[in-house]
Parts: sequence; structure tokens; C-alpha cells
Amino acid sequence: MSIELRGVAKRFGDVVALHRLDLTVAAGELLVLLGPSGCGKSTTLRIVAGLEDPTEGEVHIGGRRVDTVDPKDRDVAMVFQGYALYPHLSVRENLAFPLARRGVPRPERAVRVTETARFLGLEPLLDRRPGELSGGERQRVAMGRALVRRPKVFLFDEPLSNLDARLRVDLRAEIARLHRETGATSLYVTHDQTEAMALGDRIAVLNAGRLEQLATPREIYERPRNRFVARFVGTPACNLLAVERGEGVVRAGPLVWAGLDLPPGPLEAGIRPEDLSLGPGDPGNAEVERVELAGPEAHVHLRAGETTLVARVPAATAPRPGDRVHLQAPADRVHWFGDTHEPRRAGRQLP
Amino acid sequence: MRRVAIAAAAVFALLEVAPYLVMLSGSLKTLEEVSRVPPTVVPESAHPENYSEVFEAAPMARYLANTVIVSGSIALAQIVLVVLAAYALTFMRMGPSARAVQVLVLLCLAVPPQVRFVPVYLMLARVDLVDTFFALVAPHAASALGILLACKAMRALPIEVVEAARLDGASELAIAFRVVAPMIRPTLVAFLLFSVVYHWNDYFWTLVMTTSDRVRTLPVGVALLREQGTGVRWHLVMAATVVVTAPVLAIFALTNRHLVRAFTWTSPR
Repeated sequence: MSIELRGVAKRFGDVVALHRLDLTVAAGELLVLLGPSGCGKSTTLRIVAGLEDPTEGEVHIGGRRVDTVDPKDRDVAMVFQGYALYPHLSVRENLAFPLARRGVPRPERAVRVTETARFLGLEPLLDRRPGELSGGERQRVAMGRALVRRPKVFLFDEPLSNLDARLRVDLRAEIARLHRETGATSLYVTHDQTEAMALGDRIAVLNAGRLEQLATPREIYERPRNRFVARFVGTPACNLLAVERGEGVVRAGPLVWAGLDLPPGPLEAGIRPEDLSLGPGDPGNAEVERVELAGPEAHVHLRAGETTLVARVPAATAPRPGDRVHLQAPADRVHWFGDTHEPRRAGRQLP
Repeated sequence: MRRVAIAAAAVFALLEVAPYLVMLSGSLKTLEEVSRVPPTVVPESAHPENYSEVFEAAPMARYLANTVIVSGSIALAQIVLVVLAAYALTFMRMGPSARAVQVLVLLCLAVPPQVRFVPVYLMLARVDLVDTFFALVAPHAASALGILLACKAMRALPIEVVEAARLDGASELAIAFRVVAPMIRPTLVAFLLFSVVYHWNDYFWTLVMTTSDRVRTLPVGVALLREQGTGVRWHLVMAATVVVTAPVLAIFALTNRHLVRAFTWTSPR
């Protein structure tokens, strides 16, 4: 079942949470809504669920218009950030609740609860109450409660945000498996780009209620459409440098390229930390201020005059603070951002 | 310091308990002994037959049953209406009107019940409902205090749970009674106890509203006992008072734990 948003807008009083959003989630796809807090991603999800009404626009699920349909009649299941389990019911009763409310006969309920519990490894917990479970266990129960109904559409609202880093990775795998094995269309909200990259078939990057880019994780990372996407996706964040044009050369901070054919108008160069190469240099063109080790790699914070940059290099070859280095970046790895939202592509590099 | 505190607590407890001891001991004395000055603390001889005499002197069993019916019906009606009203005010999209209704409910608390007695009496009298259970129960069925307490407890709940229940296919009625009400149980239990005790002991409204033993409740019954025959038979009044208060004390003793919890309750998360 596909999900389709047509010109969906949401205003809370004078605040615009969502500007006319058009978005289609293909049947069986897992689409991630990614963005900083307040970007409208949760609002979008809640509009699909029916927990909020859109101010404008239409929502279609499986070809049926649903924005006037009650949440319970949309055949969607949602996993909440705060788990939202019923604290006075046992895990078994929590799982059976949506079935009971929908009039599934008792014997079938028991079968489906058992099946779901087995699928998620919840069997030993069935007679406990949510209060007696850890955060990870609770979120698995919440997923079970969504799964037990066999809905056509899954909605995830930052389901891993309340968990510690390790559990997040475990449950991420669990969600990927759940999606793979059920084949249900899923809409997944997160502010964590790592999660988005790991899970999404496609990612929709939202900012201030607008869709900035909708593409595969790879494309989002390698061809960000604008500054916001470039900065938001990737750790450390993409370097953004103002571009100056000289006689036959283009400068961005300490970096210089010759023979580039760039479009007119003011530009900024976006360079991923891993695309910066650090050569030995005395005097070089930048100084190492600080080095952060992150396992096998190091994040090197550099200064060149007024400009600061971050480079990602293998830990073994990392320079030391105070070292002078010669910074370079291949022109074909640089993203050129102009005034508009569209990125500019550099022309052919001349010899 | 600790000893002083314990001593102070003991004195306070004794002061609280003393009237109950006087009542209990008086209920076992003879009329002569109960009227003696200075009074005796422990009865010279126990007269448990005072209790059977009370049940003969007045239709106490009837009063007791009526009291159970009236205070039970009020409690039931109140809980149902409190949950419905508080749920609607807290979780249903009512827009600005919710605020107005809430202020209205709050204002109900500011009006003393005595002010309402006369108009309510006149209304019920006009439709010929004086001396019926309905007249004893209906005016108390909606409790502003209960609604405000429940609203406060509901606002502390994570709204996600209600939204999850909506997506799970539960009707608003089912969410109110199967999801939200159990989650604010400590508040409801505490309110229920106060309501039962208050209406169990209620004297004035029953006195105004009843003209026959058919619907009369214990507190009024005990008061009538005083006025029967020649002079007040204090030993019987004491015994009857024990009959009135014992169930209430038993309820408090049994639910002590809930009461403490209700006041130290934090919302589940």
C-alpha cells in the first residue's frame, strides 16, 4: 500500500509547521523523514496517522483518500518514541488490545499474540507489566503491538530516541528485519542521520516545514541538493566555504583550483571531511588545531586564517596539533552551492 | 527531639481517638451509667444487648441498606461522570470551549452546597420526587471536585498512550474506561473513598429530602432515635452511632495504603 501526500500543509495558529508537502511512499518501501526538531517530520507522520488534521491537502493510503477517515479506520500502526504501552496491562494484554478492540475472536487473538511474541523474542516477558521491563524490551513490545494487527502501513515516530546507543543499533536491526519480513510500507521519523542512512530505502530531508531533498541515502550523501542537506547529513558535518574568483583560479578558504568553469553568481563550496587530503606542508596552507580520535579514523580540526575546516583521515596518518599541513580537495568532489536551492555542478576541469 | 515528636503524635492520636472510645464504651453501658457524672471510662458491666435493642427500636437494617444504596449509587454515578467529563476535557479536541467548561466546573466548587439546597429542593418537589432515592442520589451525581482531580491526574498522563489506543481501534468510550481510568486509579480510589464517606455521613440533604423510613439513611435514623419516647436514650444513641461509623472506619482501615499512595502518586511513564 502506497502513502501519498498531496499538497499537505499544517498551520498551528500563525505557526506554519508544514508548507504544502508532496510526498509518495511506494508500496513496501521504508521511507525515512529526517530533519532537526521542529522541522515538521513528526507532524507529517501524525497527519498520516490521523492524529492531526492537515490544514490543506490530501492524504491517500493505498489509493484511498483518508484525511477525513478516523485514525482507527486507516489500517496504520504506529510505534511511539515514549513506547505508549498500557501500564496496567501485561505484555500479553498489551499485544492483544488492538485485536480485542477490533473484534478478533479470543482463540485467534491468542494465536497471533504468541506468533508476534515469538517473532520479537517476547515470550518470556508475556506476563510482565511494562513497568517491569527495560527500555529496549518496552520498545520491542510496542513494535509487537503494532505488528500483531498486520497493518498495511507502519509509522515509526523516533522509536529509538529514548534508548542508549547500543540498544539503538540492536533495535535498528530488528526494525529492518520487521520491515523486510512483513513487506509493509513504512514511514520512519528520526533526527538521527545515521539511523536514516542505515534504515531508509529513501530519505526525505525536511527543514522548517519544507522538503529539502528526497533521494536514496547514497544520493543524499553524495549529491546533497543544498547547503542544509549537506550540513545536516554526515558527521563531522560538511565544510562550507565561501568561493572567491581570481584570475583563472577559484579560491575557497585555503583551497585553490585552476581552470574551473563555474556558473556565475556567489557560490559556496561544500567539501566532505573525507574529501580533504592532508599533505606535509611547511609553510603549507593550514594549521592543525585539534585532533579527535574516533576509532580507526581521526577528525582533524584545521584553521586557515579566518576559516575553520574539519578533515577525516585514518587515525594512523593523523597529524598532531600545531602541525602545518597542505590541504587539497579534488574539484570533482566539491559541491557548489549557489543562491538557489539547486546545487551547481562544476563544469569540465581543464588541464 | 525524636521523643518529643513521638509524644506529641501520641497526644494528638489520643485526642483523635477519644470520642470513638467514649462512643464505644457508652454503647456498652446502661442508661443509668452512661448519664452518670463523673463518667466511668470502662463500663461496669458490658451490655451488648444495647445493639439488638437499637435494631428493635428503629428500622436500623432498613436505614443501613438505604445508606449503602444511596452512597453506593452516588459513588458509581460520580465515577462514571467524572471519568467521562475529565476525559472529554483533557483528551478530546474541544478547542477553547474546554477551557470555558473547566472554569465553569471550578466555579461550581465556589458555590457552597447550602446555597443550592433550596432551589434543588423546590425543583424536585415540583416533580414530586421528594422522599425517593432519586432525590438523594441525582443532585450529587456530578462532582466538580472529582472532575478537577481527575483532570489533573489525566493531564499528567502521556498523551501518546491515548493516541496509541485510538490507532489500536479503541472507541473514545473504551479509551476512557479501559485505558485512562485504570491509569489514574489511585486518584479515582481516593476520590471514591472521600465520596463514600461524605455521603455515608451526610445528614442535612437526607433530612430535608426524606419523609419516611422507606428511603431514610443511618445518620438521620440515629438522630430520630434521640427524639423518640421520653428523654434521650444515650446508650442506644451511642450503639447506633457505632453502627454508623464502623463501616466507614473499616473502609479507611482497609484502604489506608491506597490513600497514602494517592497523595504520593506520580504518573507512570
